[in-house]
Amino acid sequence: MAPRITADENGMQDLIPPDARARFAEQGWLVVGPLLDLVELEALRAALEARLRIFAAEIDTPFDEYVSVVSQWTNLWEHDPVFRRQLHHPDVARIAATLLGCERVRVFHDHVIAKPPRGGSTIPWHRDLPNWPIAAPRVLSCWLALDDVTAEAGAMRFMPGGHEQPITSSIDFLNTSVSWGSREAEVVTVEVPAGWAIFHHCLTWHTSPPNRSDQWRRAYITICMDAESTFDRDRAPWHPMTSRVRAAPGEVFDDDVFPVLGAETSKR
Amino acid sequence: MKRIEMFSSSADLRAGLHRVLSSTVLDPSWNERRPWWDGLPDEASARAGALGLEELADAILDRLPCIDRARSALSIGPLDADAVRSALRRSIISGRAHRAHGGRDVYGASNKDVWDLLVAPLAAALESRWGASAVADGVVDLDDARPAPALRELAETLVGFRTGPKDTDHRACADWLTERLSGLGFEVDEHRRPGFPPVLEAHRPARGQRGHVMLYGHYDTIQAGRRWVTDPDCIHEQSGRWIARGIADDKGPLAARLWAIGSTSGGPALTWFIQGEEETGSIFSREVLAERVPALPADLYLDETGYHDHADGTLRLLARRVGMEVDDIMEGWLAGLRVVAARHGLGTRFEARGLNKAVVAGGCPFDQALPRGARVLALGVNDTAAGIHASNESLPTRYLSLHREQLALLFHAVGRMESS
Repeated sequence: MAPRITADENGMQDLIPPDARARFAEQGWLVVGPLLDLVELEALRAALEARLRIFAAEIDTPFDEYVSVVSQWTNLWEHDPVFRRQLHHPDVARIAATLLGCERVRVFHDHVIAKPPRGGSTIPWHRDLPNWPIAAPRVLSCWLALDDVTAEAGAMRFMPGGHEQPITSSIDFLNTSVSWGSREAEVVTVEVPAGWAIFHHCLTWHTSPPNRSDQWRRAYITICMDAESTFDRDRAPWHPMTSRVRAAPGEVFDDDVFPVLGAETSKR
Repeated sequence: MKRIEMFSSSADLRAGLHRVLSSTVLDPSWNERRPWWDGLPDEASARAGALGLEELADAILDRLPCIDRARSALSIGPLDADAVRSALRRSIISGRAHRAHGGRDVYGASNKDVWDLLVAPLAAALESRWGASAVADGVVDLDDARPAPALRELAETLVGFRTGPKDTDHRACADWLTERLSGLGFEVDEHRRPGFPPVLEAHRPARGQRGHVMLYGHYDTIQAGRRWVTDPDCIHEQSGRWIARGIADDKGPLAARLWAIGSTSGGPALTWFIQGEEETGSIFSREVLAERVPALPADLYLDETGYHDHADGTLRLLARRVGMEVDDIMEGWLAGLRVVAARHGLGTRFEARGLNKAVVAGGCPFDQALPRGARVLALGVNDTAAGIHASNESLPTRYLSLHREQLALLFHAVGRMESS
C-alpha cells in the first residue's frame, strides 16, 4: 500500500519510487512509512507531553482541562529541541522535495494537532493553501502520526484528485460545511500506524472526525513549501504566521522563521 | 454583531460580550437611570468596550440574573449558568494558550461556543425587534466619531444661509432644502404667503417598511448678537463642537437628519414639515401646521431635536403621548434607544415631556398641532451646553452619527407596529 523508506543514500529517486510519485500526483496524497522507529517516536511523544504540561502550567490550568480545550500548537520546533530535530529530519525534506519536484523545501510552520481520547472536534472539509499566505500551490504537509490513527480515532479523509481543482477562497471552518453529494463514495479514509506519515498536497480536500477511541490521536505536521515560494499576504492576512513574515509580498520568505530544510537534499 | 468566524479576532468576541453586558438595560428591574457599566470593577473600560475576556466573563457570570431578565424581555429563554461558565472558561483557556505559547483550540471553536450561547440569540432578537442598528458592531467610542464630510457640508451650507429675522436668505434656503429633499426622494409642497418664509411639506413614500413618521424642523435662526467671537455664519470647530448661529437650533439637527435619511436605506413613509419663522412667532406656519398635521396621522412624531447631558452624555429620552400616558409601544421604542445608547457608552434618562420651548414665541406650532394620542419623541444631537440663542451657540459633533442609528431603529420599530 505505501512505499517503505529505505536507507538508500543514492538520492530521492530511490526514496519514493516513480509509481508512488505518480500516485501522489493523481490522488493528492501519499502514505509513507515508517518514518520513525519506536525510539524516535517515543521521544517525540514524551517531548510533546512534557511540553504540554509546561504549557498548561504556564497558564495555570490543570493538564487534563488544558488538553480538553487546546488541541493545536504551532512552531513547536522553536520551543523544543526534539521537535527541532524532527523538523529537520532529512527524509521528510527529501520526500517533500521529491513530491513537489523542487530542489529544496522550506518550512512554513510545524504544528501538532492532538485529539484526546473520546475528544476533539471535526475539522471540516477544506483545502490548506487558501488559508496560507503563500503564492503558488507548491506546498505540502507531512502529517506524521504519533499514535496509531484508525478510523475510530479520527483518521484523515481525502477526496482523491481534489487538488487538481482551481484555487478557491478559504473556507470558514466554523460555519461552513462541504457536501460531496454523489461523490461521497469516492472519499477515502486513510488509517496510518504510528510513525507513518501522510504527505498531502496543499490543495487536496481533506477532513477529520473527532476521536472516538480510547487512545490519543496526535499528529506532528510539517508544512513544506518549495524553497522558492513567495509571500502572498492578501491570500491569508489573518493567518498567525503572516505577521511574522518580513519579506515583502512577492518575495521569497525569510530564512530564520521559515528555514530551508535538508539543504543537502537536492539532486546531485 | 456579525457572526464569529474562523477568521474572527478575539476582539470580535469581546465586542459581542460587551453587548451582552450592556443588554442589562433591558432588564425590567434595572434602574433606568443606572448605566450598564455602573458597579463593574473597571467602569471606564467597560463603558469604552475595552474589558478583557476574563473581566467580561466575571461580569457576565455576576450579572447572569440581569442578563436572563433582559433575555426574557426579548423572549429568549434563560441561560444555563453551568454551560455559560464552562464555555467562558474554555474560551479563556484557549485565549491564554494562544497568547502564551501559540496554542489554540480548533479554529476558535470555543469562542464560537460562547458566541452561540450568549451573543447570537441576543443579536437575533435585537435585530428582529429594532433592526440592524441595534446590533451594529461593538461598543463605539463617541469621542472617536467624526462627522461624515457630507454631513459637515450640509451643515455648512445651511449655516451659510442668513435666516435671522432681519435676513433675506429664507427663500434661497427653502429652495436649497427643497432640492435636497427632492434628491432624497421627497415630493415637496411649498406653502407660501407673501411676507412670510415658506413652509415646506415634504412627503416620501414608504421604502420597504410600514408605518408613517412625521418630522419637524425649522431653517430660521435668531439674529446674530454682537458677542460672537467667530463668524456666526460659518462653522467654527473647536473641542469637538461646531460653533455657528443656529447650529443647535435647528440647522445642525436638520443637517443631521438630512444626512441620516440620505444615508439610510429603506424606511417608512415620511412627512417632514420644515418652517422658516419659528423664531418670529410662527404666524403663517402655525396655520399651516394646524391644518396639515392632524390631516396626516402618523405613528411617530419627531420633534426638531433632543438633548444629551453635557456632563456625561446621558441621553434624555424625552417622550410623551399627547393627552395620554406613554404606552407599551413607546416603551418598546425607548428600550431600543437604550440599547443603542448603551452600545455607545451612554446612559439614558426617561422624561415624560416634550422639548422645553418656553422661549419660542407663541409656543411651538408643531406641538400645538399634534393630535390627541400622538406619540412624540424629542430625540436629537444637542447637548445642554448648546447655548441656544446665545452668542457662540454650539453643537457637539459626537452625537451626529448616533442620530442616524436612532432614526434607523425607530423607522424599523415603527414598521413593526401592528397598529399601523
